Amino acid sequence: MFGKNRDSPVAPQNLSQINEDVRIRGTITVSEPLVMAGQLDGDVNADKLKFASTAIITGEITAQSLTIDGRVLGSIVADKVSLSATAHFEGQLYCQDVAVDDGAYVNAKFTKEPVTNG
Amino acid sequence: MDKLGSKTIIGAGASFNGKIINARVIEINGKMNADLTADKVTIGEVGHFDGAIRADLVVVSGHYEGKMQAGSVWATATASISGKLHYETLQMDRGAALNCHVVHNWKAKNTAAAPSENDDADLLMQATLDKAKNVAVPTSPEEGA
Repeated sequence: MFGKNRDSPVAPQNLSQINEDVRIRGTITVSEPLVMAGQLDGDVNADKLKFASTAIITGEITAQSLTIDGRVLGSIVADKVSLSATAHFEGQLYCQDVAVDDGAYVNAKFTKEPVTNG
Repeated sequence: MDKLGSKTIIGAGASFNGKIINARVIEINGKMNADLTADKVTIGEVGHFDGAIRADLVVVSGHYEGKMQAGSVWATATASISGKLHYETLQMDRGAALNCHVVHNWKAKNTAAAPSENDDADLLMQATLDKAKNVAVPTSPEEGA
């Protein structure tokens, strides 16, 4: 039962990722890259953030750079945001640079804000 | 579709507050204050977990505090656990620090043993009923006549 990973049960990793089956209610604060593919009801604070196509996020998002492939409902504060073709975003967006791909669903209020967040 | 592999990872620079459910395999190297339900949990050497865990297998190399209910628990040499620990099987490496209430969960075995006794009881009951019928049948026509 324990034999499989006896050599190194725990290799420290800086990358954070949340799998697609996972459902979360709460707050995540990350100083390193985060890939989120699950469901989150809460707030995210991250440096470099990616929401995969399976991600469903409801809450406030603060990041330096943000890539959205999934669904987001809420407010985003970021330096750089890119919404891909599969993205679905409703809410408020405060950011410097926005890129929206062809096919993305966006129903939001955009505000250009000269803020930097960590 | 984005595939991340089967693992969920809370990195060393991450801190989490809240509730996580349905995480199959989760590795924690950051700071967590959470209520977690998963299949397999690994708390890394630099990981701090504060809160409840319900899982089949928990490997602890870091710091844990709270109430853990697990099928198998492996505390490696760098582990420190405090709080409450309910387990089926437990493995401790030399150097692991357990400072907690440790309870072995007997429930599953007791319920597994129970049905055989019931079966015997059912058979006995059936045999008694059959006997009663055999006795009762001849008497009924007399009553009718």
